[in-house]
Amino acid sequence: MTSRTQSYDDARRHRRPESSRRVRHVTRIAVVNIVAAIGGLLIAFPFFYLIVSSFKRENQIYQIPLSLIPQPPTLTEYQQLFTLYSFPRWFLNSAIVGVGATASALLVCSLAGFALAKYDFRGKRVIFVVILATLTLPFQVLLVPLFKEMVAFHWIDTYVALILPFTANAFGVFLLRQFMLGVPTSLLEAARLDGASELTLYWRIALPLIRPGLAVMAILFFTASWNDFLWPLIASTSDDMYLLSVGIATMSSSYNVEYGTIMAASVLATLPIAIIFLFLQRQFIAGLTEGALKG
Amino acid sequence: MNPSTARPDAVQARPKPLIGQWWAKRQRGLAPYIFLTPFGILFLLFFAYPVGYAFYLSLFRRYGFGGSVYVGLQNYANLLSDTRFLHALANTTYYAAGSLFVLAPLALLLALALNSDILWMKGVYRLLFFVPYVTSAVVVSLMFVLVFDKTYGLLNNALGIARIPPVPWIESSSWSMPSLILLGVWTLVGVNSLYFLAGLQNVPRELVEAARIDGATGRRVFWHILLPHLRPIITFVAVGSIVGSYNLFAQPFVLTQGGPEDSTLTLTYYLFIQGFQDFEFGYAAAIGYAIALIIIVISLGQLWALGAFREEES
Repeated sequence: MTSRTQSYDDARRHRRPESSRRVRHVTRIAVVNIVAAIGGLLIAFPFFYLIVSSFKRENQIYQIPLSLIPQPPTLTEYQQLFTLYSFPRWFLNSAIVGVGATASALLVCSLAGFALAKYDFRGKRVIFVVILATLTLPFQVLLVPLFKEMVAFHWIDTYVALILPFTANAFGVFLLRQFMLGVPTSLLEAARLDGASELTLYWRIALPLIRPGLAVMAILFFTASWNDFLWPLIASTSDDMYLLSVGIATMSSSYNVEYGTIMAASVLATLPIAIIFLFLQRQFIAGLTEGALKG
Repeated sequence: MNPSTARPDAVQARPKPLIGQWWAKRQRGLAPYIFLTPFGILFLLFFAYPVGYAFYLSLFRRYGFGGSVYVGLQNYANLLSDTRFLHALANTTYYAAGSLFVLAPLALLLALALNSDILWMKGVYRLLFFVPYVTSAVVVSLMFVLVFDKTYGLLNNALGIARIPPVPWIESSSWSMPSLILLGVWTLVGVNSLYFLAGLQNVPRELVEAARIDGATGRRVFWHILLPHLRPIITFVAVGSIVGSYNLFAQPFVLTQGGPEDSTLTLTYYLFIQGFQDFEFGYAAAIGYAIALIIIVISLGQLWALGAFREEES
């Protein structure tokens, strides 16, 4: 390593005149902002075009030159969602499954996380390791047997089949256990001394304390459920039990494909998530990055 | 419940009946098992049992609608000579490699831009970059029909402005996979750049400043300080990208239906076809295990290559 004074001399020798440094500084600002702006535009533009196209008449989408402003803007594509397709039913299905899956997953996983975090019992280590190990198994293995199970239980085309398999997930237990570890054991002990039952400890003390964590998990689970495609595709065979993702996909595979209507469906299907994202950005982003950094 | 007033003699001050004390202790011992029961039942029903059942299924041919034949491990042997399976394997690997080697550098570049103090509207970018990731894959794919269309698509019209002839994108068997790669990169570059950004912000400032004082150029700072610190994030991004690539299903299903000529047939798509279009449950179960094995092996290989198993050298 060079000594301090020697490196200062080197730096002084390499120092350039003041004005050139200013120019280089401005160039750097320009480059960085341009690079980021290009990235931002490339990401935003397809969305913008999607929204615009959903208000165009069908033939306007297929015309040269491409128009960014629908003339005139029309709601026909949106209307067709209600007249030609069971879009409202699909939306309802996705909402029911989303809320149901989120609530049950939160309940089951927080109970498990609480047990693993705040108790010592025989087999705790083993159970935890097994749960973690399942995180490494890709879901492709489960697709066929789960389907056969659902057929056997007569659960195909029901909400149960769409909600239940999602409920016991290792990822949820892992994260909720992390949150539960933050609950002060002394608090629980004190409550015990005051005669509180274990269930009360969980329901009245631990759960409220991890409320921010629960919010984050709720967003993650709901989004995953709302956007899920492969399993709902397999688990529902009749149109009125389709989720949004499946319904919209079937729209695009029918013979006379009306792309304007598909665009309208896509916009409406993305709206709930977009709204949640807008209002709960911090929790949303925290949830997504937390999974990454703890992984 | 007031922790500050809970004293050791508080228990004696409120004597409980003997049964109550016994139950309280018993309750505490049983509680964890009871709490774990809902998870346990669901886990057994929807994870443990299916895993075993899948293996059992994979030992049969044409299990289900009308007769099944026990074939032992024949299904797995057949996979090795199934040209369609191998084609799907090649496709998926092409996709995985292509998206990783385009995605990671781009995301890193964006992260570096986001990290600098001279960027305006950072909050807007942070928001914007997440949106493709939280949008449903089906919606994204349908959105990109408008992008990839040969005549009316955004891309070809933009290229036309630059006097570049139109590209057949998803209608050509040689451009179809690159189109999907482009779609994948578009979806993930934002999120991954934010992961990298989090990593960059964790690099201790003093280290970078000390290096700059010692005369290090930006490039040296990058290679010798930033990159090593980013290794865990790089590992996460790499493994996540590969696993996501081998799971690819919605995009080829919606956008290209696996074509043209099976050029976008992915492994998971092939599983779907075998299991839920041709109803060859046994064979599909075997494919499921094969995919799982492939993913696990590749992930382990990646982790090893990125040094996750090496001892930390300080």
